[in-house]
Order: sequence, then C-alpha cells, then structure tokens
Amino acid sequence: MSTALMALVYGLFSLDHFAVGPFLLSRPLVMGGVAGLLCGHPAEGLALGFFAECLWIMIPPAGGGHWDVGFVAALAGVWSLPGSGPVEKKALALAFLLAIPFAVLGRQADQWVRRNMRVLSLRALAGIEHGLVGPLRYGMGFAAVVWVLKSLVLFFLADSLGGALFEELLPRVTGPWQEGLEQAWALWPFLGAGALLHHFSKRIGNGAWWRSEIGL
Amino acid sequence: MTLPRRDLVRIFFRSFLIQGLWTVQRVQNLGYLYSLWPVFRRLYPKREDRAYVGRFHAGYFSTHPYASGILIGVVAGLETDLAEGRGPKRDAILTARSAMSGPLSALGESFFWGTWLPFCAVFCWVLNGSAIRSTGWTIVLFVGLFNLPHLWVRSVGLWLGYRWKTEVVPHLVLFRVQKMLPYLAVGGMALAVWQAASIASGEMTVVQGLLWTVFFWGTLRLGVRPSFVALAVAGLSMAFAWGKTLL
Repeated sequence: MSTALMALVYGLFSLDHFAVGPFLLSRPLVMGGVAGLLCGHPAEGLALGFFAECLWIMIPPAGGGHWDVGFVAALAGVWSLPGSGPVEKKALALAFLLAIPFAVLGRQADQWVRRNMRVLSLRALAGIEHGLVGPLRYGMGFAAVVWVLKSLVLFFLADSLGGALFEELLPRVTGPWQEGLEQAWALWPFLGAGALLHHFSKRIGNGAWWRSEIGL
Repeated sequence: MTLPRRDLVRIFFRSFLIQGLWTVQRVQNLGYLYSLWPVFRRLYPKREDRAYVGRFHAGYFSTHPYASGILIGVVAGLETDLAEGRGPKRDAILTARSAMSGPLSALGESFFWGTWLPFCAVFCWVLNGSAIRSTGWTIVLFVGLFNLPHLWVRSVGLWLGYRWKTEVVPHLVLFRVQKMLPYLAVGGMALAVWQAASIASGEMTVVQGLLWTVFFWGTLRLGVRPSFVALAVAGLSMAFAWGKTLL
C-alpha cells in the first residue's frame, strides 16, 4: 500500500520538474521524507533524503538534461523502510546504492518522452501561428498526463526489478559485507557535508575564499 | 493603455507553466507564449493579429524559470506600448528579450540553484538535528523557505518588468543579489561544518568527523563525481572490512 502511495506521490510530484514550477517537490529531500512518512520510518527516510540532496545539490531541478535525483530517494525509501521493526543501516546503504542505476536508466526514459513531446509542441506551434491557444493548452495537459503515467510506469518497473534484487541481496549481506555497508552509511553524511562545502566554496569566488570580495 | 490587474494575475499564474512543452529546439518558447497570451488577447482582439504577433514571439526562448516573470513583464509592457503606437518596433522587443534572458538566467542560476537551494538544504538539515524533530515540518520548512524568494521574484519581477520595461535593469541592480551570494555561501559553509561536527558526536570524535568532511571536500575539488565518491566509499569500506577479517 505504501509503495502504491509512494508511486502516486512520485508521479504527481515529478510534474514539478517537468511542467509546473519548479517548487522543489521532486527533490530528494522531499521524496525521501515522504517515503519515510509513508513507510513509517520518517527519520530514516529524511536521512536518505538529506544525503541524496547534499550529494547531488549541483543538479538543478529544471531543464531537460538532468537526471531525477529524487527518484533515488523515493526508490531507496520504499525498498528499505517498510516494516515495523528497526531499520538496518545496511538496508539503507544497499537500497541507496541499488537505486542509483535505476535513476540513471530513468533519465533515458525521461529524455525519450521529452523528445517525443516535440509532436505536441509542433501542433501547439501550428495553433499559435493561426492565433489559437487551444492546441497549446491541450498539449500541455496531455503532456502532463503522459509524464505522470511515465513516472508511474517507471516507478513500478524499478520497484519490481530493484525491489526483487534488494530482497535477494539483503539476506546475503552479512559479516564483512554488512560491516562495510554500515561503515559507508556512517561516512556518507560527511560526504554530504563535504559536497555542500565544495558547492559553496565555488560560489565564493574562483575556488579561493581568501580572495573573496567580502574579505574574510 | 494599461493592462487590467486581472490580466497580470493571469500572466503570473500562467508563468508557473513556463517549462510546459519544453523542447530542445526552442526550449521554453511555448510556456512563454502561453504566459503572454492574455496580453495578446487584450491588445489584439482579431485572431489574425494575434497569429501575426504569436509568430514573432514563437522563436527560441530560454531563461531561468523564476526570472521568466521579469522578462514576461518587460515584453508585456513593450507590447502594450507598441499596440498604442508609442513603443519600440517588434524587432527591438525581441532583441531586448534576447539581450535580457541570458543575464537573468545567469542570475537565477547563481542565486537559486547555486546558493539558495543548498543554503535551504543545509539550514533544514541543521534544524532537523536540533530544533525541529518532525519530518513533516522539516519538509514544509524546506519547500516554504526556498519558495519565498521564488514567489517574490516571480510576482514582483513581473510587476517591475511591466512597470519599467527595459529600464528594469537598474531597479534589479538595487537588490544587490550578487553582493548577497558570498555571505549566503559563507553562512552555508558554516552550517555544513556545524552539521558535520554534530553528526560526528555520535559515532566518532568531532575532529575525525571534520577530517572526513575535509577529505571528501578535497576529493570533490579534484573533479570526481559525487556518485563515484559515494560508490568508492562503499566499496573501500567493504574491502577494508574484508581485509580486517582475512588478516
């Protein structure tokens, strides 16, 4: 049930970087938090979201070229967080690692759909050239519906394939594998903080904060 | 003639769809036309006239989505003047549009994506670790905090653009956004260091945590992709654990 709800939320929120806004609803921080809330482990979901947000902070939530980093947090959340017991760190780390390739593949699907939206845009343009805005309005509506459906299909496919892989792999992660993944989960927040420092330091000026105009 | 307020309100709401039917060839041109359509409808009641104007504006258009309100306001103001026969020619309107879209895009990129988004993320991260424990409120705070300047720029920018047209640039300069960016960036860095130190108090010492943070920062400065660093950390951690077991 939580997976179906998450798919619906992901489908609707993915419109945020496609057509409306963006209001940042499709960012990993929101997706991870929502996945955590739906699956009953809000703190762990938010931790996933924060890490993914910091890691890919340089990827803007708009434009045709970016890959959907919110998808990683959403998938990792629904794979690792269901159940009433405590969440294992190895499960969070494994789910995060498995979700990355699915998000990268999802980018191909996004770009294919975007490329084929050209048909609708040509029709809308023809309407404009005749002084009519109707085809544009309907084109936007139809494109939004197609995008939501694409997101739903993508989510269910990735959830089925990746979820099966996750279920298969998780019991095998024991001993040193488990220790390594838990160590990675403990170190990743520092990677997130480092990514933020790297991003901010570039904003201060030529990568050298001591030459900044604010004279620190 | 001035546009009625309800037309400007319609333009404002339509400008949220600026990314709609985004194409590689002409990027946001259809979202831009959709936002401007109430102006064309008001100024050119005949369909043939709207078609003529629409063709002029249907070319390549790309700017930052949040700064689009300013440009749409400028074009709406200039088109209103042109319809009254006292503004610049349409070619000049398109030239002004092209000339302004690049700098506005750069400003939006550096402020919203480059500085404000990471600042909001790290601010919420720090607050979530201390003042706010609720996940729901953290999400609300993140989305709300980020969107305050977003909505302000969209609405006020549209009004300023419409009111001042091409002379809007000196008014935008007064906001001193570029001056604000380094301060926000330094504040964000301080929060990131604070957060790294507070996470570290759990499983390792604060110094160790800060050293790891600086190490990762240095790695990213070398140009390594963050995803690869995350994968490498996992791989090396497992290799290290196996090494300990085998030795």
